[in-house]
Amino acid sequence: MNSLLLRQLRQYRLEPAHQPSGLVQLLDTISATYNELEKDRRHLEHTLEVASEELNEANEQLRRDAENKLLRLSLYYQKTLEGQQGMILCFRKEGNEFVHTLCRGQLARRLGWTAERVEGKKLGAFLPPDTADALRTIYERAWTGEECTFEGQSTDGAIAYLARLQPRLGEDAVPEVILSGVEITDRKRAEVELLAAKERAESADRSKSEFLAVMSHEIRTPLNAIVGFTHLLSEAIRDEEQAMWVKTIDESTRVLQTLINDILDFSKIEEGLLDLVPEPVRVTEVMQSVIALFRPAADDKSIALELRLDAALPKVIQADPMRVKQILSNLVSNALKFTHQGTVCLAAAVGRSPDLDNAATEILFSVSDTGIGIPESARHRLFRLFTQVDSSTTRNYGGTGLGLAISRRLARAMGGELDYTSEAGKGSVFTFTLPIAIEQVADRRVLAS
Amino acid sequence: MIANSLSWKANAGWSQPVADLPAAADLLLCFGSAEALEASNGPAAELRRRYPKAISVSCSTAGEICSGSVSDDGLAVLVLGFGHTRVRSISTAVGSSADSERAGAAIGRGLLHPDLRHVLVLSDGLAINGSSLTAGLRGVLPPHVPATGGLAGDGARFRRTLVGLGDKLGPNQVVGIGFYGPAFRAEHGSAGGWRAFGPKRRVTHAEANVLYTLDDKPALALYKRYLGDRADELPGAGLLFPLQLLSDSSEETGLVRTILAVDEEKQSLTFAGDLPMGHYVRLMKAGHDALVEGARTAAETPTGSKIKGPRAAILVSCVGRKLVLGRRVEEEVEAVLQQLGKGVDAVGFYSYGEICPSGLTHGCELHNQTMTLTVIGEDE
Repeated sequence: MNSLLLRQLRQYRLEPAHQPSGLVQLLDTISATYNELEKDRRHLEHTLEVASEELNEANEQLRRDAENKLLRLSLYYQKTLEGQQGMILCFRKEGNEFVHTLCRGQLARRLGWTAERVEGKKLGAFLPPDTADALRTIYERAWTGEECTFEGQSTDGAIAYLARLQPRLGEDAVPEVILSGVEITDRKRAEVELLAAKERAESADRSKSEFLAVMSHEIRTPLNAIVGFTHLLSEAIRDEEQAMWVKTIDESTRVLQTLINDILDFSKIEEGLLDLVPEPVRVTEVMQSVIALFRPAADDKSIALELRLDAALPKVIQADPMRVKQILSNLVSNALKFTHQGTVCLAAAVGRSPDLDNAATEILFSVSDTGIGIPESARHRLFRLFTQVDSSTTRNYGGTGLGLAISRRLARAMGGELDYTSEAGKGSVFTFTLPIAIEQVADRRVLAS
Repeated sequence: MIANSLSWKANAGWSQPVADLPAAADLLLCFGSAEALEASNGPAAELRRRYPKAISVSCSTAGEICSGSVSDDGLAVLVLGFGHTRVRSISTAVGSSADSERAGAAIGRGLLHPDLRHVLVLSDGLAINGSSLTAGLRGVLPPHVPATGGLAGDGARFRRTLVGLGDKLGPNQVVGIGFYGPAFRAEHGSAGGWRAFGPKRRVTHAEANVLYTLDDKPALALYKRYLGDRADELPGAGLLFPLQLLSDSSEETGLVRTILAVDEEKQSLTFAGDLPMGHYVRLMKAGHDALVEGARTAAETPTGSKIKGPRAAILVSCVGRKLVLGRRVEEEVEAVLQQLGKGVDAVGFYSYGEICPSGLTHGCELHNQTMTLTVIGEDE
């Protein structure tokens, strides 16, 4: 019988053994009910305990998982930070000093900035005083919220680095600055080497120009003597065969003279020694003189040589007549040289500027021909020194390859430009633009009115 | 319709003289112990002899319900006679759990007819996979024909359940009764009263209705831990902790699964229905009050108040409820009867699984741990 029920019965002085059988049966049923209730209660308690244990286990597992995950993540970040080629440092200001909170990366280690030496330390703790002072200045700038960069190097100068300082922005102050650095040793070395190479090249170039100038001058003196005496000789000689020889000497000498003059010009331009002597120039006259100069050569090849003038062309401009003529001559000479039949035309037009009341601002000279033209592939070589369209050009047409290079440099020296359009087999048009100074424009108007 | 409910107990005999019963009947529903059902000179045989033309259905139980009382090792009988309704029966053998869907479909096909209104299905409670059986039935029955019923029981022993027609009853049987004609009316309801508790657990290894692991841990070990001292009462004690079946996205399905068998060697548990891999489950528990309230809820809808004439109620309640309710098991039956009102002949049994439509699922579904009832009647 259930012990509680038994106690309760005895409390009321009811001894189960002495009860009538019907009542005993009822008491047995009540006892069984007591026991079952007890069993149910234990079952519920046990369920609660197990559920609670399970909950606790799940909780523990979650905590362990979270801790492990955090640890793994932390290790991963640490390895990544330490394994990177560059470096990352973080610092903040404590009082008047900058204290580092992080220093990782292979570059930092190679600079001798290990985590142990840097983290939790001030600048002076791991840097010589002058370096520390220099860095402090930059740190101060970054602390004001300004992003900045600086280049530094290891104490022995073997490693150069570029650092970028990036302030973290808090509510209204900078709580920390992140410094990320990359090595630039190779770049620095390359820069130094490049600079040295440039200087060497420039020096060599200067020497070359000087040499050419001196040599050309030295050659010109005896050449003048040859020209003079050849002229005398040609007048003295009566024998026809010998006269031919002298004529050949004369022609060769003149070619040589042109070449020497070109070289001298070029040297002057390269060294910035070109003296332009502007004076009032009658454009038409200059052009006519060029035509006259090349008329015989054109006639020899049965090529029409034309001159076309814009009616609006100013009569007088301020320019260096020698140089204008030199450029035009060179262009006409080339045109005749590379044209076998047809026409070579020298023309001049006026370029106007809509911004300046449509006033004339430049003269557009052009030399067009019906010659062999220039292949597009030769464009990049055409204005280079000692280069022609191709090597066969020199063989077939003679020349030095200096003319166009000098002409373009002269045009540019006068504030103008020299360029061309061409179609292989159909001909070329070379254009030389010469600006007219604004004052001159005004002057000319006064004259015209 | 004429309905009579009566019971038989070994020590008290019939609750009313068999001679007082109507002279003719169409259908006998006998729920009782194997002995009372099988014995050639037993009470079931006596009734079958009295109504030789009636369809006699037998089903073993884990407790018989007759009117307001629940008893064991006896017999509860519902004697039905119809005026306008035709009744047909069919039975099929079910070889194994895997054969269950075919058996369900066979029952459905055997009863199919344009006049079919309702199917009552009673099945073996151990060899069957209840989910597959109902799936088979659903596949064949038209949407407007529901099926209700349950799986036979064997006390808390889980060894041998019997189902059959006439005197041909035995294990591995499924019986279907079809009710035909427009006069027949049936209403049904089902509710549990169990509450899920503890964490959601994932079904990590299961084969149909055999569960091996939850969250990759042996499921049997979990049950033993929760049962504590009562672990040696398995599989019966397993009924104290049914499983709430959730979907694979852990949404509620409204289904509850309960243990039928335990395999110590394989560390597995066999349930009355499927536990799909990847789905989630939670342990469930219930107290007396919750179960009694659950039973009352089950009877809220099928009151049969529209039926003009006698009503009868077939109650199928889960053995797990009986285990928890203990001596107070009759309270849930009383709650149902109170809800149904007077003039209803109520007979039923404690089962290893209940069959009833569920939510939006037409036809039928396997339930566990519920009170499921079907109220029938006939318009006269």
